[in-house]
Amino acid sequence: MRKLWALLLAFVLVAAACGGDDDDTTTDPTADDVSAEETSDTTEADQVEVQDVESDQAGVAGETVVGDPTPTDRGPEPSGTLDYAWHTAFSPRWFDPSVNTSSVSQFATQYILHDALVKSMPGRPFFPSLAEEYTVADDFTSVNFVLREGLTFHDGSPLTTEDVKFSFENYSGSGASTLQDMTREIELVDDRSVTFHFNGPFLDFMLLYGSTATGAGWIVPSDYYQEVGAEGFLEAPIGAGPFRFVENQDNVNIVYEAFEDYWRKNPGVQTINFNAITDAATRYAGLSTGELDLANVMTSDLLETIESDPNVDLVPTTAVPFWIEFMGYQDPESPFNDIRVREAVTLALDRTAINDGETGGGGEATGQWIPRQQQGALPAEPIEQDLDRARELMAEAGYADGFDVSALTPLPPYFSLGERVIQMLGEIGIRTELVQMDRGEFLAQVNNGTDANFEGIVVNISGAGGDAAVRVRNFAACGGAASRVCDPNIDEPFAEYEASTDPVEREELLNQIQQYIIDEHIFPYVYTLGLNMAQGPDVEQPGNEVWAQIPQYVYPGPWEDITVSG
Amino acid sequence: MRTFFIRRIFYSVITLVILATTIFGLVRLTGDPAYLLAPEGATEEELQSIREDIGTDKSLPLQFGTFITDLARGDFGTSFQNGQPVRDLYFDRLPNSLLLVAAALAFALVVGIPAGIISAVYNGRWMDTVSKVVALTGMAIPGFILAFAMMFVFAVQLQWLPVFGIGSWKNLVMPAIAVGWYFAASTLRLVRSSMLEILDADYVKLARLKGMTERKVVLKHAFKNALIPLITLTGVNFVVMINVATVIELVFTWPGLGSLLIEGIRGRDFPLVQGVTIMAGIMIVFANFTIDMIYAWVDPRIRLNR
Repeated sequence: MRKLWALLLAFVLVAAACGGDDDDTTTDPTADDVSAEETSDTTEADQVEVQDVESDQAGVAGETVVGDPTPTDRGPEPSGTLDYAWHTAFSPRWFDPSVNTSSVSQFATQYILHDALVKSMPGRPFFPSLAEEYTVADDFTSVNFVLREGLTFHDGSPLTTEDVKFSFENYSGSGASTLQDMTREIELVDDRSVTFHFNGPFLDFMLLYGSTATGAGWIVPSDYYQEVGAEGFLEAPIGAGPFRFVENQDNVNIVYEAFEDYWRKNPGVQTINFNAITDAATRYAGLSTGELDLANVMTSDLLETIESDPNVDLVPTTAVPFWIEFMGYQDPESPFNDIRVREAVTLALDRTAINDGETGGGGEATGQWIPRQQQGALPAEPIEQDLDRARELMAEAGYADGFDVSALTPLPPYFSLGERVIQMLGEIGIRTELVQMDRGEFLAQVNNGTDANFEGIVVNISGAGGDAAVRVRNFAACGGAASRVCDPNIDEPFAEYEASTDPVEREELLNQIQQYIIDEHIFPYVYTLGLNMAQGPDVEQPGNEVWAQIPQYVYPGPWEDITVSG
Repeated sequence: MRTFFIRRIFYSVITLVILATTIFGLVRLTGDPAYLLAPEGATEEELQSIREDIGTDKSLPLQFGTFITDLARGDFGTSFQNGQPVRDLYFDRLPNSLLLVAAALAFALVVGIPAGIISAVYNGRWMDTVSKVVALTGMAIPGFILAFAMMFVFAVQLQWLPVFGIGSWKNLVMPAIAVGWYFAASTLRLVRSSMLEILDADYVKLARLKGMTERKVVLKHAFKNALIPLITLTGVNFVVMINVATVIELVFTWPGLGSLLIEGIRGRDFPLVQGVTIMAGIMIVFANFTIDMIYAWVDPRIRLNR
């Protein structure tokens, strides 16, 4: 009976939180990689963390990075069917890497269907995949890739450097303008060797081309793509990944089958059924009955039931941090203009309580606003709640009796998180009210930079890929697309960073900027979101070997490594 | 009849034009869809490029003109989120919705009609009480509660039926009952009240006096006449059900029109929302038009009075 109540309660709460259902159809960067569903309650399963990026693996100038050899022993034949439940509506645009918005949702599909010259893999952030090797020029003005021998697309056509060139030039997704503006020429040396020549030193090329920061390095078949057009490609996509497209049933059930010529190995399963199931209770029920093997994002109301269900393993994963933004804090009239007030806010938050309350301890209570998984992120120091010191700081700033703030707006639907923050700020006299904004409107306002129609305090989060510099560029540098900050102590070193070609100097500058943002309490860290995934007994790998294995990616993968019994 | 026909056509077209104008304006109040299509950190140039691609960079009158002329050609535009023609998305999903609604309606009639007859025939006795309780709970319990209760019993516990999906009759059972439950209750109430009225009519009494069996009196004389309002209700219900099964579609991951509309709303997918809404409007206007025509044909006084 408890299961029934859990199912009902989950639906009612999620419906209330999300305005009718818990799905999210947007392609915004946070909508899919940071779920719209909240989680809570403790779990006993091992925590799975999004893998850290080792910053020295992008390729040292002048050295050739050689990939794993193409194996001669391809392993056992694919067998069985993997039934997977995605948690939002599916968009066929995810079939096309050329319109990748650096959304992790899209990467979930790309890792099934497509392959890249260089991509993130478990423990190998810049893993040469279709490329046998790559070489970054001494002066960072070019990068050469050599393709593996005998690569083919799913239709049997050979994968050549022409496809690499076309895919890059046709790419219009995240980071396209930067990549294409910086690239002077793509030289096809021969069928297997291709060199990208840049207009000047381009130190971020591999980060943008070979990670989840963009989808530019993923290869589509040029002849086929041009023959069917972009719209036709969405109807019947062809790639070079471990699974080929079979069928898309109404954007709800997408069927893939193993591509037995995939270069890396035989995929573990013969068929993947990718189901877009927007209701968490239905996903859980599917796991419980064995109709599903893997399911994204279990809501808090289901956790107790899941833990008592012998057919379902809960797999907590940690995602990305929430942080606070003070609207208009640089205005001298704003109380948040005083660093003591901002520090008081930092000290007022009990991160452990927030983590326990929001995700049952499944998230993290230590961190900074930039995800620690991202290349270049400064290690974070623990921040203990200290209400006495926070009140002292408020008094020193002239706010012993506190003050009123017009609004606190969290990313929908994390309203309970907003309530917790409001309650904690109330402890030091900062009185405010929760504003529940439409999720789409919130994301639009976030990307509206200084024109954002926010008031007071915003509790923000971002699931976009990239590195620490991307975060600074977007959120903290003057003129950044989602930035409401103009501070010469950030902008000047960041301009130096952008101009520098010395990796050591760049690292120092980036560290300096991050430390400044932390010391000035510009973006107080709130806590790191945890997401609870789940899997059934037929999956042969334990949860902590299935989920969040790929850097900055919390979903299952690599897909070809997953096997099922029965 | 001809004047009546032309007048009803005119009213129907006016209704659809008002609907199209209203929905065109309303979806644009939700904000700029470019933000939901752009990658995080997109520049103003990138946002503008997206607006140009989807046509929202143009002035509202120009967008409206394009929308109406495309609509007149039966073109609802291309979905912002999916990159597919809305017409294709709609007609791909329509058979699923029709199937679900046909099954739900069948369930509603199979349950509602006999229960309504029994309730009327045994008025005031325990079977009537049971029927009234069924009708009350049917009207009061939300479909999604029933959906999860069935899912728990028949899928999770007994494992007789699949939790989600489409493809076999087993997939259809729970969604059809969940959608049809409310309509079964309303059918029951309608049949009961009609039957009660008719069973008290003079011609029914005369049939009994003539020695006709009670079974014949109920089924041949009373029920036949009680069918008229039921047919009207069923026609309207059929159209309404196609467009209101949203929550049940989401619970059972049934790819129908309701979930398509929700996807459109969430993604500020103007063409998708416009297309689905206008098609729903066309269905309802067409159903009303047809009913008006049938009434006018059956009863000439209607066309003279209206």
